[in-house]
Order: sequence, then structure tokens, then C-alpha cells
Amino acid sequence: MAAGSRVAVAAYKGGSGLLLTLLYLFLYAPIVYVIYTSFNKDLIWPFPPDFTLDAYFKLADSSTYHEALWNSVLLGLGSAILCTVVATMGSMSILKYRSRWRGLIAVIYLCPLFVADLLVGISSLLFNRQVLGLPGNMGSAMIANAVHGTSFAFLIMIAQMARYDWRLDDAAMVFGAKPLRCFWEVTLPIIWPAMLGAFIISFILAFNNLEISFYNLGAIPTLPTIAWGSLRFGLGAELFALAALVNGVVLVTFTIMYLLMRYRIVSFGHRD
Amino acid sequence: MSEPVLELRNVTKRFGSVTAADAITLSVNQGEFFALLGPSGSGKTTMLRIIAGLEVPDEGGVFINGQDVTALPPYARGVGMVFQNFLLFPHKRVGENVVFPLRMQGASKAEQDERLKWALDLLRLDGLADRYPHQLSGGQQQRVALARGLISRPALLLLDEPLANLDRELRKEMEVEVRRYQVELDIPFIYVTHNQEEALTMSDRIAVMNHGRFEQVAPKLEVYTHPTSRFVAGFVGHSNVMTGTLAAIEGGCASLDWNGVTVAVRTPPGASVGDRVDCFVKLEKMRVVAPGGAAQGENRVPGTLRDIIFKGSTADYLVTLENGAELMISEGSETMGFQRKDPLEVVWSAEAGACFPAGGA
Ligand SMILES: Nc1ncnc2c1ncn2[C@@H]1O[C@H](COP(=O)(O)OP(=O)(O)OP(=O)(O)O)[C@@H](O)[C@H]1O
Ligand SMILES: [Mg+2]
Repeated sequence: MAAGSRVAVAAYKGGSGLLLTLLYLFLYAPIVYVIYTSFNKDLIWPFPPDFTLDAYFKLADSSTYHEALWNSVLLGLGSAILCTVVATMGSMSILKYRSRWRGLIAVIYLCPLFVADLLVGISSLLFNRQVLGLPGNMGSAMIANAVHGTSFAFLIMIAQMARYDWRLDDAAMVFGAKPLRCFWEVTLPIIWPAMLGAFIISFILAFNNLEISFYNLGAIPTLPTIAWGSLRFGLGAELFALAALVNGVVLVTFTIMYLLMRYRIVSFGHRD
Repeated sequence: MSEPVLELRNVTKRFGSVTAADAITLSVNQGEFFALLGPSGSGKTTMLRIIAGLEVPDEGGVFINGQDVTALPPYARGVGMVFQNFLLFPHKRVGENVVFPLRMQGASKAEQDERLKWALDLLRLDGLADRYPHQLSGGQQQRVALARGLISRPALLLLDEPLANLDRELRKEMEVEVRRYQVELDIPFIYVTHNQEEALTMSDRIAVMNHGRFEQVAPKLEVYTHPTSRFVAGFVGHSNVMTGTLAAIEGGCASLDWNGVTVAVRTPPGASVGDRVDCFVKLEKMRVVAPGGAAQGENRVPGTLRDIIFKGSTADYLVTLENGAELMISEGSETMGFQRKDPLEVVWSAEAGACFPAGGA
């Protein structure tokens, strides 16, 4: 009987392992394929492999891509700063001041998650133009991108900061720290890893976004908009190289974040 | 003493339907060790938070050295505090933790160093300045919290159950230490605890708190020997409670009918014949003697020894009386050679009893 149950457990473990492998394959096979192809001569059918870095040289030579990269980085940074600041203030006020309405406030922070990119793009374009009389530009694109970014950043902040002990702030205040000083001396040094996480996620969201940026920026190119534009002229080699690079950078970033947390080089809240 | 260091005038604080501080008036003098004793939820922490400025009272005023600080924020009050769970800053080293209040005051680097050395010496923390809080034992963390509370020469120090998380041995040791620092510094300590032994060991004066109200504020000996309310009598010390009806009153003396046993008691103020009262007698105020044995006291009740609980220097004798009730008596452990089931007598004086109108519960 014991042997029977052991077999059942083994079968269960094997089964779930297989399922997980299939899931990962489904998720990552296309990305791996793009990275693999970007190093090949033949982009249409890259088998058997014939490795070359041509695609990367082409990408490096293209000045449109340079400008687009710069714009995307700028957009990502601006939007991420905005998201992180707003999400930090939001999660702090919800957790620290424990208002009766905190459930509602949290839901309002999260609502934008359910609005499609396309709608955020179009409506912010319309609102800026019709109501405020503003043209689409980098600033409005940053703000529009921060709509979704803030929701994600807020989710990350609130999950991590739920463990923060606000009585530490009480202690700091009793010992003479004014509120800003208290934030700087006590709160910030403890919650910065959560803020970094929120920053990275919202940066990547804005950096990769197509629709919102497209509607707000018009002719100003970002990596996603020119990638999409160039699709109309067929699959260029630069596109493969670009996709591979972006995915590579994201992957490396997340690996570093994971390692930092895994080995407790940065830790959240209290060290017990 | 001239002016009280701390004065609370009619301080009231409500949280919804709970009144955590109910018209509290209090003054604490220079160099006084003042204990705030009460059960969980009685409003002790709230009281400290009001004094520190972390909570604003709904009514009444807080005065420190004669100055009205009711409207001042915590960082402008200059009090020190030791929190219930220490609340050391986890990302700062011991030295940085301790020196934090001085830095916030903008003290010079030289002064910071000098005071840090003084504080670390006083609390025997030398050599630990570069550790992080999580690298310290409970007792060490506790001393760091104390050092941080003391370093900036506060007008008074508030301590919220600072020893509650320590094991018994360490607690006994720290009780003596804390008292020593207080004498050395000569500032008032306001010490919150729900542990009566702690309060009795360390303090000069005790306020017994219940439901946000002070039941009694008095020197510790008086609180122990002359409780002024039913609650205090039950909460401070260990007592036998005898509930009965007043059968007769003759001036200062009365007799209580306790389930058929007549007990001589002091007449409770304002009581009349027929009232239900609770009579509290501390365990160590009763004696056990062999039937007819010599002992002082108006009350002498026969019973049977049920058990002896050995406690080291003392022992608790459990005696079953003829009316079925049971009394516990604390005696020196090596004095008598009683055995279980031995017949004996319990003796105590009427003076030892404190009577109050019987509680509803
Ligand atoms: N911020 C708050 N909001 C609502 N109620 C509160 C708040 N702080 C305290 N209370 C209530 O006030 C009462 C007194 O609480 P307090 O923390 O002062 O008790 P305490 O004597 O320190 O208890 P303990 O020994 O358990 O620490 C309790 O009933 C508590 O629930
Ligand atoms: Mg408390």
C-alpha cells in the first residue's frame, strides 16, 4: 500500500513537471526562436543554422533606431519616475493612515489595469487636444503611459510595504525627526527595494508600449512604433536584432533582481 | 519638589466607542519612578502615546516642565521613549540607532561621539556599536532601545513594557538595571507594565489603570496593602476572595456571613447590614496552624489540608474548609511538617481584609 501511494506521488510529480515544462515552452519558445533567428543569415527558415551578426550591425547603423531608442529610454524613465512616486505616495497613505475608504482607494488605483492600452492612448490624446488644447508630446506620452504603470507599481509597492512597521516612524518622530526627515532616514532606506521593483516594471511597460505612445507622440519615433511601422515593409533583420536585445535586457534585469532578493543582498522590511 | 515634570490635566481620548483615557489627571515629579499598571487594553499604551505626542487627546492638556505641549508634535517635545517591541531601526547599526536622537537635534559630531560613548558604557554595550539590531540578543536589543531613549537627556523617559519580551531570568536582571539607570539619571521614568511584580519591584509610585481610568494612584506599598477599589484588590498581589453578606456592623468592625462561616472584617465605608461584599485577604496575610495552635488574629477557621505547592522559599497551602470553600495560604516552606488530609486551622486578622461591594461578575 505504501509502495502504491509512492508510485502515485511520483506520477503526480512527473505529471505536474511535464505540464510546467509545456507551459514554459509555450511562453518562451517564440522568444527563444526570435533570439535564435536574429543570429542567422536566413531569417525566413533559419535551419540549419548559419550564424552571423549582420542583423546587429544593421541595427547599429540605422539612425532611426538610435533616435527611437533614445526616445524610448526617455519615455520609460519619465513615466517610471512618475509611476514610482505616485504609487509610493498612494501605498504609503493607504497603509499608514488606514482610512475607512482604503479599500475603495486601492481599487481606484487598480482600475486602469482593466482599460485597454488603445483606449488610454486615444482618450488621453482626445482629452489633451480638446479640453486642454495641448499637442501630443513626450510629456503627455509619459503621463499617459503612467496610467497603467502606476497600477502595476502600486500593486508591487503595496505587496511589499504591507510588511513595513509604521511604528518605526513613530519612534523616529519621538526622537526628533520631522516627517520629511523621518521618511528620508527611516522609511526610504527600508522600502527602496520595493520602489526599485516598481520603477523597473513601470519602466519596461512604458518602454515597450506601442498604442499609448503612438497616439500621444505621432511622428516622434520610439522603438515599438518604428518596429510596428517597419513591419509594413516586411520583416527587416534589424527587427529581429532589436527584439532579441530588448528581451535580453529584460531577462538580465529580472535575473539580477531575483539574485539580489534570493541572496538577501536587498531585503524588504524587517530583517528578523 | 517644586514643579512637576509631567502633568496631565483631565486628559480624555476616545477611539469610537472605546474610551482609552478617561479624564486622567496626574503629576509626576523629578526623579520619580512611576509605574502604570493595568490589564491588557486598559489604555496604558494610549497614555504614553498621548504624553509623547503620538496621539492627540480629545480633551484636556499635557504639560512638561510647566509648558503646555498638548498641541506640540512628538518631535518638539523632547521626551525619550522605549517602545514595546524596541522598534530599533533595522537598517542602522547599533551606534547609529543610539545616536539618532542627537543627530535629529543637530548636536555636533564631537558631542554625539561623547554621548554615544557615555550611553554605551552605561548600558554595557561596548563592542556592539557596529552590529545590526538583528545580530543582537533580546536583552542587548533592549539595552540599545534604552540607550537610544536616554542619550539626548530627555526631560522624562517613557517605557512601554520594555521587559515583556524577555525571558524570566533576564527580566529579573534588567529590572534591577533599569532601576539603577533611573536613580543615576534622576529623571522621571514612566513605566508601563501589566506585570504587577515588575511594578512593585521597580517603582516609587503606581497608578493602577482599568478601562482608561485610574483606579488608584499611590506609593507602591500603599497600593499593595491598602487597595482602594475592588479592582485594585483583585489585580495587585494574590488574594483569597470571600463573598458574603454583612450580618452585623459594630462601629469599625463587622461580621460577614461567608457561606455559613462568620468572618470578622473591617467595616467597608458606607456599607449597611445585608449588603453583599467581597473580602480580599492576601495569601501571605493568613497563617496555617495545628488545631488550637498559637497565632494572632480574630478569624480562626478549621479546615483540612488538601495540598502543598512548593515554591522554593515559600509554599502555598491549599486548605478545604467545612463550608466547602478553599483558601490558599502562603507560608515559609520549611516551617511546618503538615501532611495532606491533616486537620488544621486558618488564622488571620480582621485588619488584613479589604472589603468592597460585591462585583457583578
Ligand atoms: N488607534 C486605535 N484605534 C482604535 N482603538 C484603539 C487604538 N489604539 C488603542 N485603541 C483601543 O484603546 C484601548 C486601549 O488600548 P491600549 O493599547 O492603550 O491598551 P494597553 O493598556 O496598552 O494594552 P496592552 O497591555 O495590551 O498593550 C483598547 O481597547 C484598544 O482597542
Ligand atoms: Mg500596550
